[in-house]
Amino acid sequence: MVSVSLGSSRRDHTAFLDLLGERIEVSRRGFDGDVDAAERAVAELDGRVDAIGLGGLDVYLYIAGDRYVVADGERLLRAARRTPVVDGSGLKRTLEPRAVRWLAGHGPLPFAGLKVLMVSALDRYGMAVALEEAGCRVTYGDLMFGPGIPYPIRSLEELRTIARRLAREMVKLPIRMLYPTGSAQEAPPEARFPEAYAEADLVAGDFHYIRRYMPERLDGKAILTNTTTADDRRELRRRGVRWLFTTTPLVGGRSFGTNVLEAALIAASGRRPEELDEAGYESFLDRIGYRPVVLDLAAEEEGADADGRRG
Amino acid sequence: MVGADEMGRILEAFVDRFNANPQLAQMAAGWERTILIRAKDAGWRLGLEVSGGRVRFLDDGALPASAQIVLESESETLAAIFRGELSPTDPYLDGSLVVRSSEADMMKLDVFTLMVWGE
Repeated sequence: MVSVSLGSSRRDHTAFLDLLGERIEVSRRGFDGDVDAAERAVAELDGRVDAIGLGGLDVYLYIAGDRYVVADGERLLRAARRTPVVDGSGLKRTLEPRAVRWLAGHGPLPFAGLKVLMVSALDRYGMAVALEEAGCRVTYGDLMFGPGIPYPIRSLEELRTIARRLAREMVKLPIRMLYPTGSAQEAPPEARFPEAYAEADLVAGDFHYIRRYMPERLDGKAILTNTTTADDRRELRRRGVRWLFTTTPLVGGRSFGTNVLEAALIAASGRRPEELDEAGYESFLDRIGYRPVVLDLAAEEEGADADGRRG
Repeated sequence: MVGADEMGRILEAFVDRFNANPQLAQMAAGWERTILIRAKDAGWRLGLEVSGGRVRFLDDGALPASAQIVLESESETLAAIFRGELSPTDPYLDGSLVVRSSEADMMKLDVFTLMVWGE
């Protein structure tokens, strides 16, 4: 299977993933934010691979029972007619609430009363709901870190109200206006709303957003995100981050994006994406023994890049 | 075609609605911009000034020499946007609304117009 990503081509690689008794070759191809090139790649791969994952963007946003379709993502989805194409959002909806519940029960921090900054919640509404259910006091930064509007959203209800007003139109905009793609993912961080980071015990959400706007110091804080690289972890440690929680599953000791795993699951099971429901994803996560990764960065040696599990 | 007087009334109604919303005042805090609105077919130029979290209508005589944001389209399209009948996103994407501004300002303006009119 191939993961076609709008992220940087510098992280391209090929690996093997052993899943459900199948050995699957996983190839990641980054297109540096170029939607046209990614669309051509999906069309060229159509019929030649078992499944295609879309990385670096969400095609579907699921918010409070409504589904919004990101226009650029839909273009990529429709570029293939024969091969199933998935963006990982189906798996993510099941996996992230499960990760939060696990962390609330077994993690190193008490979640009740924990002050959380979610830099973006519209792309991971399930995580937002799970954090509130765990008793966290969550500030949603969708307006702050997206369009740069100095308005912290203080409740899920307000998030839902604002989403109903904005989401249907915002998803029509080019993806580069909505999300850091290509070289924007590698630009040096520029602190935005540092006071929001400062008042949080836990910063949660997409790592490209967290990284892009994080302040110089994050002493003692925890980060809950999808996935990080060894360089990212070094940078977080340098800024004083204590705990790093990543939701992206480890399979055979390696970390794979949700789009990769969802595509691999399709390839291994031979099922169509529309045949997989929440129960199917839960069963899959049970079978791989899913739990989030907990890293104590203070205990890691400088320069270490281990993806070991703790907690 | 929508004339300047009618568009002035539409913009004043938009301004009233914006300024009556304390949530929008908080969102627009610190965003100091002049918006020039130009109708290609009717020839008029009108504007809005955003300052201190509030919006003020500017008629042709009050317009500054330059504006940070320029919106240009047919008068019917501009009227529909500020009446809340049409999201600015569609005409922007199909090219019938030309927006001259930074992308960051365009995003903010998009959010504010959607927030003014609601679902």
